[in-house]
Amino acid sequence: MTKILFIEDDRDQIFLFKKRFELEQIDLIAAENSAEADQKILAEKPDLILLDILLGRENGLDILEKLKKKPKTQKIPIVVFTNYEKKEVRNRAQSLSANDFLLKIETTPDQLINRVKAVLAGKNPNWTAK
Amino acid sequence: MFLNRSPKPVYYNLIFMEDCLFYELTKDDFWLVPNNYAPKVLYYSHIPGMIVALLLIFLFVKNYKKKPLSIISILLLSAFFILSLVDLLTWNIVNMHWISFIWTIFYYIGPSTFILAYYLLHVFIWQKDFYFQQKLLLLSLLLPELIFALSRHGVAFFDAHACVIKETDWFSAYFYLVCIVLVLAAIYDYYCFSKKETPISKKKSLLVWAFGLFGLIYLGFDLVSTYLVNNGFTNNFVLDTYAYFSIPIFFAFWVYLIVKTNEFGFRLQETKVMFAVLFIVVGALILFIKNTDDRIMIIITWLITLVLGMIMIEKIKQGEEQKRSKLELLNRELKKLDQTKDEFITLASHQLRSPLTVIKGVSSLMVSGKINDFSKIEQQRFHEAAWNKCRKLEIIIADILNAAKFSNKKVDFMNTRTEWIDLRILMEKIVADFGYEIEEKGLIFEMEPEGIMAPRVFGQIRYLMEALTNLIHNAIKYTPTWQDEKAGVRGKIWVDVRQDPKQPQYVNVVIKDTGMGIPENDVPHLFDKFFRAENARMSQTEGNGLGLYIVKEIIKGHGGKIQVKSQVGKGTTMVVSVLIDPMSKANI
Repeated sequence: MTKILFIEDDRDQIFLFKKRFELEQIDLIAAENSAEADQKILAEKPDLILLDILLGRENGLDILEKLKKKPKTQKIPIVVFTNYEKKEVRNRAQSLSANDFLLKIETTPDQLINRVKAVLAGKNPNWTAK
Repeated sequence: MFLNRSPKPVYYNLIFMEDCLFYELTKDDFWLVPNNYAPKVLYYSHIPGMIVALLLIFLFVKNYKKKPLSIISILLLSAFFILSLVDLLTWNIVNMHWISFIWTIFYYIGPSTFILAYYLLHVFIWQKDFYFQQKLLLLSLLLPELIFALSRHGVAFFDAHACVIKETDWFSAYFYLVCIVLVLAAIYDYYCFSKKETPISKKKSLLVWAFGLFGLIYLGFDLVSTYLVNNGFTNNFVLDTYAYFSIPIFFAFWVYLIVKTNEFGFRLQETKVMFAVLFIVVGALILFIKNTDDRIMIIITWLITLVLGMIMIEKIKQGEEQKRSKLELLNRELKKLDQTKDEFITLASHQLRSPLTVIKGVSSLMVSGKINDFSKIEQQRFHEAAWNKCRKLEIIIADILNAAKFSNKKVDFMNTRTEWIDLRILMEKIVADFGYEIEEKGLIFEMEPEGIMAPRVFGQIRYLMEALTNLIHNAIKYTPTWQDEKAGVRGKIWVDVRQDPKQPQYVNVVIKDTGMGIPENDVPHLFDKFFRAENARMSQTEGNGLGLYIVKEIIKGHGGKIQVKSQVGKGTTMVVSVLIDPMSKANI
């Protein structure tokens, strides 16, 4: 069963996406901060990470940088999934080799599933969107 | 200056006489003064003043602005220049026809100088030009001068002994009358304006004093020298030439004000060039003069020019530097504001989108029919999530609108809907509204007994209620049920309303809790827009970071302040001090 780690601090969102992913036989595990994420990555070995940017005091970009630097985690595809729309953030995510950048507000659960499946299948992310 | 220069006039017929006979036409020290009669002080009273006038005219023309003050300055300087020149000529020309001709110019320029100086003063004080009719009236003061000049009424006789025209008493009287009327008009102007603007600005007062000084010196020397000559104390008009110091003095004040206010954009380079030229010209005079006394005078002038020039250049330098640093500061502030605004928009849109994401996600499941693939309980949970987010959106929109309103300073808390408010009653009401939440969370709530009744405060109840509600809500939200679960100690919130014992102009609302506390680093930013303390973010995902900003703005608007004492893990004490009567703030 495919496992996805959702680094996100809004419980309603976690519930929504977790349930929708279940219908696709995908297991969505949630982590609310980087410490929890580290722990879950070790324990669950997710196939993909969905990463929010504004996480309480933490910045999702820092987590992205850290994960992409660590040899153990750098191969896990990471999709930035946020409502924080800022050109600099988008560019930085790209330069830190995130696999995709999705705006939550523009993405329904169905669309998210399609994009996640595409990334898992190794297709090129749609970086030119914005 | 308009009077004869000899106590014993000798009558000559102009038709038969071309040159005045009594001068010994010897070349004196200086080409401009070919006779022994002309006083040496002429170098000092006229020539430097004329050079300065020319340079100033040049500067005014170069920095020409279509403002009345600019035009008046040019006219006044030109009038002064012509007056000085004409006076120099009358001292030196011995041809009667020429002197008679030049004397008519005197008739205009003398009073014109006075009229223009008054005009300048008036416009500077009121910062607006005269109406057309007023200008006409001012100009009409010159009309009798025209009659005097074109007819014989101004001239009593030609004094060939002194080589001057002797004016009629009518003419002299009229000239003094004009001067006195203008001085009185200046005093009246100042009086009227001081009623309108209190206190009257220093610059305006300064120019009025300069005008007064100008009149005093001008008329003073003229009258004294006339008196002395007419009464036979002396036969020399040297004292009269001192009257010419008055105009440069007036202009020194004026130029100082111009540089100070930078009204005409005089630049550093121009001032430097002007003073360099002036310095060289005045310095060059030393070479022409053989008389020791005059040389000393010129050297003194030279040194004064040097010092004044240096002071003025330094002043302009300082002014420009101040302006530059002020601009830089403003620029930095603007950039910061712009950044804050951008940040506000980015964060506000994030705050709005997050709840919408859930609402949209749930609705998309409903539209596609996929919601039916879930159990009833799960479906119920989806609906709840969407409902929660709708409520949250509602609050965020209200908060953002409030925050925007407060940051645009559009709210004047003291303007409308104000009343006297009993903060204790207000707090009791707010706490009662939260009764259910406090009980559900299992917290202990205590309100200190009243004791001495706190005075009521003046303000808008709906805003004060919003602010205090926000603080109580935070206290409940961030205080865990158990302070020490093992020992069975529950979390607790205290509230106290009391007049500040040390600063009796304030009523303090103290809200104390045994909550998680605020990290020390976060306290200074607690009331910033969109700021949330680190541990608050970790424990509570709800909250948009606008609540405390709104609280701060409301309390500030009521002339109050907030103090925060906090220790992580122990609790927080918020002391909100509200001014009893913000309207009488100045009296405290």
